[in-house]
Amino acid sequence: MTPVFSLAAFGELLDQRSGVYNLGIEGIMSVGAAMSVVGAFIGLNSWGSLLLGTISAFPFGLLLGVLSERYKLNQLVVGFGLWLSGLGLAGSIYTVLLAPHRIIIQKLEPILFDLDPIFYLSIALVLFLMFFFSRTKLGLIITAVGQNPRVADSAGISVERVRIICVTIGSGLMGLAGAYLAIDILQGFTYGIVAGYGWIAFALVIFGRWKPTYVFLGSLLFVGITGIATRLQILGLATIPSNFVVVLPHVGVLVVLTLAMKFARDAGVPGSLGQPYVK
Amino acid sequence: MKSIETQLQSAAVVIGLVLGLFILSVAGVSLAMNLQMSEVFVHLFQSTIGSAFGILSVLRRTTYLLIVSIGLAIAFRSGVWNVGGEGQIIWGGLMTAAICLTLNLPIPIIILLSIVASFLAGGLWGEIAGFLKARWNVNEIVSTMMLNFVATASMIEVAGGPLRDPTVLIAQTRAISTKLQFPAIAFPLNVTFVIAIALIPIVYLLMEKSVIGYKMRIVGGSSTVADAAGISTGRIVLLAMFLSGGICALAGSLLVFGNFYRADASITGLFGFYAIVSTLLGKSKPQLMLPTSMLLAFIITGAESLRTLGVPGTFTQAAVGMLFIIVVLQELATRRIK
Repeated sequence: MTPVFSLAAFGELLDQRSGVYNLGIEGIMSVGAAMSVVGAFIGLNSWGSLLLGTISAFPFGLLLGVLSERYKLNQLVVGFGLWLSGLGLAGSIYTVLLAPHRIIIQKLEPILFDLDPIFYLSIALVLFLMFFFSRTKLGLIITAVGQNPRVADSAGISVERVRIICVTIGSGLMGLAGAYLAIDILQGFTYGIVAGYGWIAFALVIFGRWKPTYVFLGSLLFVGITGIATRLQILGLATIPSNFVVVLPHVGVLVVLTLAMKFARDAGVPGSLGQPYVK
Repeated sequence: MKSIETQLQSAAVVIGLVLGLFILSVAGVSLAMNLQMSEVFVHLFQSTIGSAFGILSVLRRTTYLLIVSIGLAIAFRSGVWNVGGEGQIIWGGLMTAAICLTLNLPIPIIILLSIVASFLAGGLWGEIAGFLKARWNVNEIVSTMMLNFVATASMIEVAGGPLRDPTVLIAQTRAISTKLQFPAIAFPLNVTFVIAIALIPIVYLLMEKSVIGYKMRIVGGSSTVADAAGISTGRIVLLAMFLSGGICALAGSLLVFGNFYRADASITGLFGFYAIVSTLLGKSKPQLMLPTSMLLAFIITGAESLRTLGVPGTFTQAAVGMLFIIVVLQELATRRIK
């Protein structure tokens, strides 16, 4: 499960590091998931399906980037729109195209220690993002755009373009996360499979103080804790009504986010987060 | 202050855009599903404004959308993004069903008690997010969204447990006594509509004419200004979330009294989310919530009616989601005028 959270959270991280909230994350993941199953339906192998899921998420990011940066519209409002239409679109694709057919989905082959390539990809991505944000010019440009767009602008950087590209690539990662969820974990798509994971990823970015390593560790910790809680439940050592076991992750997010805000108030938050840059 | 004429003009543009976009998406879905276009539109017309039953169905949905929109408007105007309408509606429904099914008191007292308890339950549920925001600046979009999931789980737990209707397979409470069910004005519209309408002037006076409403609007406009004016932002956030959650829960309570007569996790009909659109279309002004809720109720009723022709139910979500484009365009247009 870790890659689902970490990939989606990396997407959101990229968006937010450049200064844009992407509230559409849950909807974008759903579209990625639905489209990846469409990929399997039209006969692509699992890699092709994952790719289709990723690509199908790009237009959403592009739309968010253009509307919020070129036209300076409220990012939260656009994000909500993408969220709801993404959910609706994914659900409609499912009902019309996928539900009537039986689709055989091949899992990715595990490569090492019973873990599949996408898991290693997400580890590679942590290392890459760490390096990218601290050691490369492009990474520093993105950070500058997120922290202080005015300064970046006077240094001759196109704030608009950087943000639009970041949001588009970020959405692709969200799409990949959704596709991975559908192809590798659940082996199919049903309505509502993303089940709040997008919102959890959103919270993990805040919890991880906008740092790739913390976000990844947060995802691991999170999956670990929910796993242990579920295991305890199965063993009968904890007596939480089963309906509440399902929402343990969501309660976890609330608790963890509150602790993060309590002890590290606003540390690391990109300075211009949420505000379109107006020259 | 814009003249009434320009206001009417911009309203006409908005309505035109909303309807136009909806008609386009219906046409799109008919094409995609290979349906006879004329048949689809005749069906759409008859199930919404082309028949008495259709009009009443639209008004029935308007009732609950209107209440939730008014609730959300209070929060949005105060700068708090309450997206927890779903959870708050659920608590309203749950409290109402619980009280009606367990207590044996005179009818007016039960009804009054249910409504007050629902309001309190929803208000306190919203207050969890309000408190976290006021105290530690925890993002309310995330917290209210998470609380929605928890509220749904609570509903399933209770409706599938102590209050369960043994005759059905899903987690649903027993029906409340017929004496408690609100009478219809004309089926399927009932007296809850009147309550919803009565809420408009009350909240209008609160938000636009009272000192507290003025403070809320200042906090919503800019927290720096609010600080400079000596307004306690935290206290306003708490108040806004309490009232907002309470009013959303009122919708849940009335959904049980006037519509479903029982409670389960699906009573919200996603109105907690859909109402975000009507609230934003009306710029979070209480007095504009009736027209925008009616417009949205028309769209939802229309989209839902297509189910009988085989269009997926999720089409409603996609159609409502697209309406955010109009909200955005509206924002763009006002900026141009300025």
